[in-house]
Amino acid sequence: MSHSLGVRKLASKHDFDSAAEQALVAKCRQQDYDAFGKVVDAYQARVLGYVRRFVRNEEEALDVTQEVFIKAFQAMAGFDGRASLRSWLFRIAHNLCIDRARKRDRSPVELSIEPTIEGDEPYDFSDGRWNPGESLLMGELTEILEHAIDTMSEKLKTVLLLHDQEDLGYEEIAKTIDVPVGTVKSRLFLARAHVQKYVRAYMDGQPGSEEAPKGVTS
Amino acid sequence: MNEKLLKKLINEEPLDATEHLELEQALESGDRSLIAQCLSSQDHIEPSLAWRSSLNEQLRQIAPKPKVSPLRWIGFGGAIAAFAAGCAALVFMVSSPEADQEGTPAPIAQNDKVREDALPKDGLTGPNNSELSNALVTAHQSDMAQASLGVRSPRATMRPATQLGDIDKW
Repeated sequence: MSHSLGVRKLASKHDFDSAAEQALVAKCRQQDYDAFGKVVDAYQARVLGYVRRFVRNEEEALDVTQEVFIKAFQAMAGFDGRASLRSWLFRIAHNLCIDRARKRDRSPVELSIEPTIEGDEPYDFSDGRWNPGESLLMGELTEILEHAIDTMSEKLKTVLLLHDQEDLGYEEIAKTIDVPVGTVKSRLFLARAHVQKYVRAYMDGQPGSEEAPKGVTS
Repeated sequence: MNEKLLKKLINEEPLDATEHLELEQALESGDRSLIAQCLSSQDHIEPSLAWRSSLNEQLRQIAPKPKVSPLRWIGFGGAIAAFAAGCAALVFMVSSPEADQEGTPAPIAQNDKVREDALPKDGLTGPNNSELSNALVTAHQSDMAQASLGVRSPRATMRPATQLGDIDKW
């Protein structure tokens, strides 16, 4: 299937409030096609943004995202509403991505996060958004961040994206990926440490440090 | 963060209270970091309309078709049953030998009147006669035939001709 062309930037993220979501879910449980269309409208960009971090190319990401919504539509009758619709969709997306990764048997290389003598303290990432001189740096940092996330293990990546990108809470993430809350916190810390190591190497002017990762954790 | 705690985190081992506190503090400071800000402020890419159209098509294929209400089938079946019963009743009425004698719908009433006029005026026939009256008429005619031949039936007695209204006196 070819849908890789024609992607466009989403102007804003939109969610439902609790009452609207419940009403929508009630209709979707009865296999209401139009109501489910609203769910797709609201979450397609978020789900795609999440999925594309785990698959190799845009086309595959679009296919997996379709599969997420098809599975969600089929399983909607069994959605009990204890979790939010958003985290339920991310759970389906997570499971599909893990399945794909297992089939692919891809194991991403990850930088060692062993503490070093001079790098024990986390790098001070002050907010540079209001400093015009740093906007260029922000763009470069975003690239480094993308690279850091791409080379992260899926366990760490999942938690980092769900927390820092999708703004899910610890408990919600724990339910989504079926791990204890403590594990979510541990993984989030390790994921951030992984990114910090990449960014620190960039700031310290060590280009190419990410090409020679030291050790693998997953 | 100390090395021991770091190794515990890597191995996903349980933490004690102090280590847990240390982790919480590290996460809190991380929430305000540039990493979180970069990730949360990233624009999302929306799929194309062609992608959405394809998804809609697939959803439409798996969506259950609107169910026809059972009451609708019951109503339809009821109509068929009533029609069949009506047909059966009509056939029965047409084919029944008693159709001419029983049940006098308005269009047939005129035929009854003609038949009444054609029958002998013996007081025993009429538009509403029953089988009994038919039997009596038959017996009477038999007696009359025997009498004309000179054979008297032991049970039959010649009766004087009666008026039409005397039928109630039987």
